[in-house]
Amino acid sequence: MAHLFEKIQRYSTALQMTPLGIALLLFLIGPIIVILITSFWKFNGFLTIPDFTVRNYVKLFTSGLTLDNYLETIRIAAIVWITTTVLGFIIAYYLVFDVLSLKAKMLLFLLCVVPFWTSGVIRMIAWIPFLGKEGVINRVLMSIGITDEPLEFLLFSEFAVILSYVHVFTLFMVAPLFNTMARIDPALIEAARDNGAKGWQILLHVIIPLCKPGIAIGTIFVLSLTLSDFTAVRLLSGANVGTVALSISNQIGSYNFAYSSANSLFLLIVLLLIVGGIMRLVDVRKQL
Amino acid sequence: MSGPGEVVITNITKAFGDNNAVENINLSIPDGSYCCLLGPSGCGKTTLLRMIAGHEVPTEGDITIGGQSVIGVPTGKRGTSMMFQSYALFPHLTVLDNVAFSLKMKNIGREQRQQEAYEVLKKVQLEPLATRMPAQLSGGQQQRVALARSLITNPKVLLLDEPLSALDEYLRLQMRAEVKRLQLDLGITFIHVTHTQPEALALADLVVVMETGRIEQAGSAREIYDLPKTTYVAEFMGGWNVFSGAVRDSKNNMETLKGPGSEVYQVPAQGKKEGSDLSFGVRRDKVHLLGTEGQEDRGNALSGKVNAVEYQGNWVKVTIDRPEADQIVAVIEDREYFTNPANVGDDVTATWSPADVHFMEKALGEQNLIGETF
Repeated sequence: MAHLFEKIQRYSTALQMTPLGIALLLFLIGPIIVILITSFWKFNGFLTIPDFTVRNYVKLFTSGLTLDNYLETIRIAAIVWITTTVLGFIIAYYLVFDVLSLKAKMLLFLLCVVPFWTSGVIRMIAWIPFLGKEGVINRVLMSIGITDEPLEFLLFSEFAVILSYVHVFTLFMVAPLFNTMARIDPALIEAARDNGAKGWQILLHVIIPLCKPGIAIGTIFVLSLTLSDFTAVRLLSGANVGTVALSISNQIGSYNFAYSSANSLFLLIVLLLIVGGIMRLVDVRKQL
Repeated sequence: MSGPGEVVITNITKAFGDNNAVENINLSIPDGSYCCLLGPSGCGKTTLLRMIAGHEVPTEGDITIGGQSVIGVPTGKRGTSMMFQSYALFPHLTVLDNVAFSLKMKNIGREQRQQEAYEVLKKVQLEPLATRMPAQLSGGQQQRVALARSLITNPKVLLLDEPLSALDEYLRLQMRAEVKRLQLDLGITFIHVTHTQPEALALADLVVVMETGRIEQAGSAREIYDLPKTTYVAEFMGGWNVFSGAVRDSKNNMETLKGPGSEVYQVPAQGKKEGSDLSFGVRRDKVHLLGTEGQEDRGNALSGKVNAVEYQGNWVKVTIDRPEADQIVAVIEDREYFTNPANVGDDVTATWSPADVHFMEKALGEQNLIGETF
């Protein structure tokens, strides 16, 4: 018995890691391997046939559509990222530095979470009656005489897609920024003031640099969510926008699993490179 | 004409909600002096310091620095610089950039500000660590960086908030000497907040003893220690036995006081009416034990049982319990004590001369913090 116990102790770390290891293997590594294998298969228009061909990749890298999709995706992601970062920073700053009572802080923070009580798809669809030709916004604008014609760009446009992303993803920027900002020692701000820093100098030279890890984590959230989503594009772009994720979804819709696998894998690599780049720039571990 | 670093505080009150953290304080700190604000936590000393720095706005009253009122003048434009208790170094900047921070805020070019920062770092012997990050430094080194960051602003008044409290004993004594040396070299006003009595006595030209938002006494270290104005100051500074009694009779320039128990004290006459209450103190080192060599009744004698004996090298601290009365502490020179050493549990008689009696005002309210440093 004692012998067995010693053995268990020796492998205790390995044993403790096993359940997580199995879960990751089954639900993360496994599917990626399946996608990797499928990406080398062949699609003949009806069936996906096991094979070892790089045709899918050749098609991916030579198609003009790929570049267009990536440019469109990156443009949307960049606009969403900048908007959520600025908004997230302002909201987090307000919660941390302007709301003094802890109760009010928590209450306001919970209010930010309320939209998450419904599903993301519903939150996106909810924009349609707002932005449509006969929607709330157009009616209000016309009734107060700002425009005569309904604004067409509001719905079924890139604007609508970006708006819904900003709406849904800003909280993913607020949360990590709130966390980093709340850890800033108030004495640092006093010390900066003592050293003659004006309000904007404190922001620029003390608060923003110290918020870098929070911005980095928020950026990883927002970019991976934006790059991988296709529902908003499908529901709100009115076929005016083509992103990488939407094209992957369309390829799956036409049963071209081989090509969509190659496409997905490349998107995954692009995303990992971005995340890797961010991790190199900012020491995110300080936040964990 | 007042010097540039003279700080005059007039009728300053600071209220937080219904509480007055600082209440109607008047204090004049001469240019180039070392002033210690001393008191237990919550006495308002830090609030007073922060008002001088401009991190708090007084509810009432005026503060002038070098003859100019600084009420409404922003922090950083008052000629003050503050060293924070936690040092408050910028964790994302190197030592050099921390020190050069104030120059950067003034838009001074990179080369010039680095050169100036090096000069100041030299003064605190931290030049070799200029490229380190604050987290890589020891507590003592961090403190020097904080000091350098303050000094580079050329303050007329340096404000130090418990600067030595985070250091271990050995480093604390070393830094204490260094801070004093620096103040003498620079010749500027230092205002130093502390709750440690020996620190204040060792450093300050002007010791300000505070309690619950008021100044109990302000004076030189020797005045504060040797001539405490109130029983609070005597008990807070330590080193005193404090007694009280009512005047019973008076003859030959001597008065007899009757204590709350059966004890009777002989004190120099104060000319007070019979029955009036008086408080007085006797320094612990003026109390002797009967039976040790050369000691006879000095005019006052109280008996009790030895509660504790602490040997401290050149002196011995003897604590004596008395039935239904406060303890007496005698600090006796080692040679004298060992001529007839008293042990714990022995019955002894403490004696002192009426000439060593120092009268003081009875402090208001209850005291809960009693100095145990001497």
